Amino acid sequence: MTYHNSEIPNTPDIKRIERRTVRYGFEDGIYEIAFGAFALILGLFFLGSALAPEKSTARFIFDVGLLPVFLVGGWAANKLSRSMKQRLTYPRTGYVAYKRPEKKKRIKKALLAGGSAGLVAALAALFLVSKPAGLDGLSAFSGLAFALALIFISLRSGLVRIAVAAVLTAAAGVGLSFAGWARGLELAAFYGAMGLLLVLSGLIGLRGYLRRNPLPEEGSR
Amino acid sequence: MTAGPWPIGEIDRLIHEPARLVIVTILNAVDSADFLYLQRETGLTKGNLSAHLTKLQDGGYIAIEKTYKGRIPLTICRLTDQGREAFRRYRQYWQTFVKKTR
Repeated sequence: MTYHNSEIPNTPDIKRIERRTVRYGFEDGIYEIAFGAFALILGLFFLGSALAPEKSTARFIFDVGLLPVFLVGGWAANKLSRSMKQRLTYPRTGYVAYKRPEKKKRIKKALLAGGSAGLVAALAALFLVSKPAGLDGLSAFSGLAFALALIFISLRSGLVRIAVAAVLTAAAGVGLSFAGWARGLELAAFYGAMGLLLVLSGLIGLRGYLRRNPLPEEGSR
Repeated sequence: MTAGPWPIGEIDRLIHEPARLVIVTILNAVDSADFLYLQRETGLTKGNLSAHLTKLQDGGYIAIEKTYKGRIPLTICRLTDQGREAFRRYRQYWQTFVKKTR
């Protein structure tokens, strides 16, 4: 659609415009693919830990390596999504850099994110090492926590696809907590299911995005 | 102009123009955006968008930088501090206006 000057609506809806910019970051499905892949790797990691014999070197490596995998995996997922956006999104519909929060807010956010990641990793490590009673609902807890984050993104972006992924993630987490499997397997299955779900949701989004937005002709920039 | 109940002179006409208001609103929501993104979001023709961007740049409201992301040439636009402040004031003006005319 191309407007001429006189055709631009006289009262632009500022809230709607701002929401569209948030939506733009997620509509190509690339973040879901990247973070889905990250969740799949975590699932494999939990699976390895659950299957490794107790007190073996492999088990020790899996347990100690959880936090680095969390941190490096998050960084790699971010890097992958940037690289995919550079190849697929920017040439089609343009480049957008989102605002970084002010330094104080950034530190708070980093502490919160680092703290949450550390807490989840520590809980998971504790759970895998000592298997204390009363932590059976860890996959349910994880499912609800990730579902909340996805619902927040869905509300901000207005993407129904992400809300559906949130509901299915919560259902997978809660459902698997009733499966009665060995605890490590339960968590591995949850991360695997969530990873697959996010990758699938992202691929659906990406397919639609690429169909709607073919590459513009050379020299049109 | 005589002073009425509405200080019309206070309206920032550089932002008030609908196409430029859309451009400034988009740029206020992000750190920066390129020409292609702005063109798709505003629906303006290239010539029109260029003209509006030049006016905003001349007014000191936006900064334009020509660069590359990988091998892709980009014309990146960013709201300056002056532009952000002008948008904040414009928005505040209209919020007051809407409240008083309810």
